[in-house]
Amino acid sequence: MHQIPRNLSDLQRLVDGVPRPALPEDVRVAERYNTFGDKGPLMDGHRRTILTAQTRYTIGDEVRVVHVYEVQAEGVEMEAMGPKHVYGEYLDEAHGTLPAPVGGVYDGPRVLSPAVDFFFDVTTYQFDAPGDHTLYWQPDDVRSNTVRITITSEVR
Amino acid sequence: MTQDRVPPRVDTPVAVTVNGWTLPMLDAEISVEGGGGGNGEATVDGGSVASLNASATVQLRGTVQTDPGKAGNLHLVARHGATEVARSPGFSVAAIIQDVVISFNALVTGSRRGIIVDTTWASDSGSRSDLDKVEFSEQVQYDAGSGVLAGAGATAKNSGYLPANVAPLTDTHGTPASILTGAGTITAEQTFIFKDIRTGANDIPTRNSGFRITRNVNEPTLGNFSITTAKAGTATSANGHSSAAGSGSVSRTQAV
Repeated sequence: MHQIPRNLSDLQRLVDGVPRPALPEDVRVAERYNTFGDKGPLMDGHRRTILTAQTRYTIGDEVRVVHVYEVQAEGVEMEAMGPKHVYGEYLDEAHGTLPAPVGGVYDGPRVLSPAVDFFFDVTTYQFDAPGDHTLYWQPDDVRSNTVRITITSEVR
Repeated sequence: MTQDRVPPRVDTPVAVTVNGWTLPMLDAEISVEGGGGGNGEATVDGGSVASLNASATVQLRGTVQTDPGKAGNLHLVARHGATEVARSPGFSVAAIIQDVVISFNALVTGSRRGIIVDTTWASDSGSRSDLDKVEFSEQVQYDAGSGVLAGAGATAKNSGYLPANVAPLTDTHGTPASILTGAGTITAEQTFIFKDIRTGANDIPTRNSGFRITRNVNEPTLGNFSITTAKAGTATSANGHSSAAGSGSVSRTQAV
């Protein structure tokens, strides 16, 4: 199965729209994907998965969300360029990121599936009160797993 | 980080200055030291030693590429008898990618419009198989665009690193047909960068890898739109990486 990008050490994030190297902690989260037990459900050979470093955070912590799009079906053209903007992410059932647009131009190589695409921006959230929250990613019909996080006021 | 290196298989000229030689002095002997053990190997004027009694340009030729982690251990050394009189900084033997060329492959059809181009490149050694420790990345940078293509530039601006000893690469330049509802233009600049695992050099602009990708949406007859997608070699810069022009030009016009 192909991997996008070939080396997870090439992962990047967007800083004010400009690609910058991914934080090492985000790369470590991405590296957990292959053995992650709560991947998104397969839908016609496609699945989306989001991962966070942990599920319990303290008020003010940055919750960083890593995105993975896997296509097991053969022969689907996937975009190798990145880091791709994350559209259609939902926080507590409301849009955490913009809805997926109609589409923009694309310039670059494509990879034929089966493939796993890690080359997405990392989204971040911060909370100023204790509570439970849910996150999922659904820019189209393929919905990711749901990540449940708890924000506490505990001082670690 | 850049590294001194010479490619394998081809000559690299090196000017050697010899001063004060008179008969019956011994010739100066020029050789490469440090070869073997993964450091790489190179010849001087086709042999292990070149003898000089006057300034000359010798031809340094890599014969075995340097292994990763062994960079910079070769030296060009001049000896006069048993005395070392000069030593170059360390260098390596490593091929690099250069001279990117595009050609038309196919049209993008269905829900998108555009062109698919085959992209090839060369090794400065003359053999692409020498690029087995080289990886390259495409860099793309968009302008603001106008009309229906205003702001249509993708956030995805680089390809990550891909193997340089496997070609061709197929590049797709597509635009969703659904947004082509009026006039508009957008331009993207594209260059390649590479990293060389043998020498540890990273994010180096690739020689002759610059291209400009243009999209122009027109309305040749009232209510009917067409898009011309073109890609051509040009000296340019993308994401801070500059390059002279690559080779090739492709342009196709399609009805929307």
